[in-house]
Amino acid sequence: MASSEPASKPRTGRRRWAVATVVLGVALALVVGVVVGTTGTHSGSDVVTVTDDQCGGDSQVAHPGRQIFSVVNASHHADEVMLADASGGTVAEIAVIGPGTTVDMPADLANGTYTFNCFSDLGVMASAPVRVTGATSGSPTPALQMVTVDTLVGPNDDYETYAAQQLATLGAAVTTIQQDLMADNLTAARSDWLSAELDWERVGASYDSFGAEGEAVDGLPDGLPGGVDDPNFIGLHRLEYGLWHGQSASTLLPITKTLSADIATLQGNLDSTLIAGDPTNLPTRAHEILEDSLRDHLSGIDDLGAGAAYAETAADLQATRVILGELAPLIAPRAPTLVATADAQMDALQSALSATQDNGQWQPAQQVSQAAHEQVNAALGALLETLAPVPDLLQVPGIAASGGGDS
Amino acid sequence: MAFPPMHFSRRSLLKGAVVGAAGTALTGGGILGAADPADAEAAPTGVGSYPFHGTHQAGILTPAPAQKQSAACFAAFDLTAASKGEVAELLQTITTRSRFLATGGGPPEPAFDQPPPDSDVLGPVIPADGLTVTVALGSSFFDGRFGLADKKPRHLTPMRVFPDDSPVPAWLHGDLLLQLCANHPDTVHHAIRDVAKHTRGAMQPRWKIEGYAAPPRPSGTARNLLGFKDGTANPVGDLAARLVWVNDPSEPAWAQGGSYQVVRLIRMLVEFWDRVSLTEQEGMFGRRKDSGAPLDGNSEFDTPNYAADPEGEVIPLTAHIRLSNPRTPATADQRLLRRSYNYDLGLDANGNIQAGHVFVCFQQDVHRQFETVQTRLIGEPLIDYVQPFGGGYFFVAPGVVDTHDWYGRRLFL
Repeated sequence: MASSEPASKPRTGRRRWAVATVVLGVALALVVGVVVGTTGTHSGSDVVTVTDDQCGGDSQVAHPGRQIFSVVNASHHADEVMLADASGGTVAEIAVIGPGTTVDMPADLANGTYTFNCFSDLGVMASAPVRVTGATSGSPTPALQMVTVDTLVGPNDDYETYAAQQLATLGAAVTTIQQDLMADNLTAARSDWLSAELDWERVGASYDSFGAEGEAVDGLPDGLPGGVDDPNFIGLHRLEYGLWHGQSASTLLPITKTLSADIATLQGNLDSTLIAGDPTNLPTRAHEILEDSLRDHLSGIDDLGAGAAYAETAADLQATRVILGELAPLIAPRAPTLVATADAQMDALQSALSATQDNGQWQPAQQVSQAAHEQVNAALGALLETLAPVPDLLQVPGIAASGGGDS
Repeated sequence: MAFPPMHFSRRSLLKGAVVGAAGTALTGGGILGAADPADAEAAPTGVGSYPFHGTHQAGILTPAPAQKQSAACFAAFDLTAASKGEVAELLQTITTRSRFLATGGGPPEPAFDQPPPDSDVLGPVIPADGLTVTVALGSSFFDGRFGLADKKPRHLTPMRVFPDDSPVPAWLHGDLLLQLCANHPDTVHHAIRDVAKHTRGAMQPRWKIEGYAAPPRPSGTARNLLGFKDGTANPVGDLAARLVWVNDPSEPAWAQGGSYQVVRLIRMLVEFWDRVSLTEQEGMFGRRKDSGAPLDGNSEFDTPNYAADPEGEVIPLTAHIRLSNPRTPATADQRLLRRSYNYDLGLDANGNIQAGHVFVCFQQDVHRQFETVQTRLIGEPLIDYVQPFGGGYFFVAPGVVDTHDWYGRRLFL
């Protein structure tokens, strides 16, 4: 990420210094490769110029090791520029480079042939081959085989089927709450509220990714001028607030009716690209459902009385297992250890969550020891670090990763 | 008892040492604490201090945001004063304390039968240390308790709740806001402690947050805690002055030369942010993370050309810089002056670092400027990573012009 600006000079200097330290302790053979790699600018061969009809100009020769290509977009349009190895895998990428701008593209190269590919509205252009020869040093950037939208369609269809089932379960659970309220049985309504809330969490509508229709089902009072008393505060959390703040069955009954209608709307529109229909959102969901648990549940932010943070997180974990299972065949060749690591961490999170229960009953955070709470935070935090690369690993060329950006 | 004389001699000794070291310029320091404000004004300032007296208050364009002091405190108070007279007295006391603290010097000599007059946090002779005190009033100041309702600045309201806000009542609003900025955090701490000590009966703290400014990393505008340069497009010089100071005949006479101040306490979900790709981060801001250049430019201060990118292929239409400042003639008078700080508040229940941004901006019309810009930002992608939870709208009183003037004096004419 070093740039051509003065601002980047100290970073370059630091890199060189770090390399020098390594060199002192390693064999002489390494020196040649490293020095060439870090001073590649001397030949001028690291400037890659994109024009309206060329991606990278004349064929180039590069050296193995660290290279920083200075990509100049001299065309009249925005481009996405990727550097591919002989297998077609990507080793470096500039997601967007505007016309008239220069952006650095760092890459660790091995001996072989590479190609720059330029994606724009006008199509895809490939450069002349870039031949890399010389003494090798360090380890090259592993090439990433980009997925296509088509490869994500199947997993996302599976996800939609799953989500539709969860929504049907949720619809039935809300009907049960209605019956509880009609019978003026608030104790049963509170218990059945938790079932419904967990059904919703299992849908996997993380980070408002189901848009306004999802907000209607599970929105928070945040952002409403009247807060919890605002007439536009509706849905499951509105019910939660009422059920745990002494409100009457007759007050809450109309809310369940609106909720049933809003769930039906969501079911009808589930395959909309604004809800669950965009396959390129699925990789984002793989980590954002549990990011949601951390942000909203374990922080206490979305607790309106039920104290259900651990139960909700466990339901989020179930949804994440489903989505990760659907994506695992795509992740495995790109990050061979990721799924196994995540599986173990998901088991650890499940254990940590279960340990917060008392006689099989979920407890509010205030009733759980700090040690048990820290175990949950630890397991979830470690898992989230593992899952964070999934959207990048499964990104589709020409579509900049946009997780959360569609809200 | 031996203690009081010992205490006295220690102080005298230290003070003598400081005065001696600083030379004649500081010789007035010993009598500064004596209540005469004329002496305070005559006191030495030197490098590291800003003029206390002026048409406008310091802490806005003095020093300008790009040179702002590295430590800050924003403290909102509710008035507990019983009458209009007590409010006037309160403002006079705040003026006296602020004038002294922003000027520096020695506090009154301690008496053997009294607790010490100063905390000594800054030693026996108080350095100005770049302290600026900025006093602003919330809309509730004008709610009728003190017969000042007809003096309320035209555009002053409680801060509205925006759809992406997560408001926490204990962190919102207030009758009076003190913004304290200085070169070091201990100076800020000393100042808020001093002002509170002298005003306990008439106002009580409602919320308080400390902020810190970052140096350039490695150059240009300082970075926020999301790692992006923040404030690059801030107006400067005459343009800033034209956008910030109230100069409107339809505003109350006392308010001319003041400014509307918006403070927004914005939590940043930094752990989540750090798990998001660089491409996505840069798309949300519209700038390169390393250089701060707009995505259609090559260096930080390049001007984005949105007309050349109508579909948002280079700088997304939802990018923060594009929504907040579309750089059109129609939006030119909506620009505002940001003077924000980073904050760290410990931890959240989920183990995350509780940190973020004390967003501070100044403008001559809070509706035309901040609210219009903030309305455009509703639903921007960045909102998944930030949570505005506190702050308020305030009106910065005009400056204290001389030793006979005090904050808001013309309110009481």
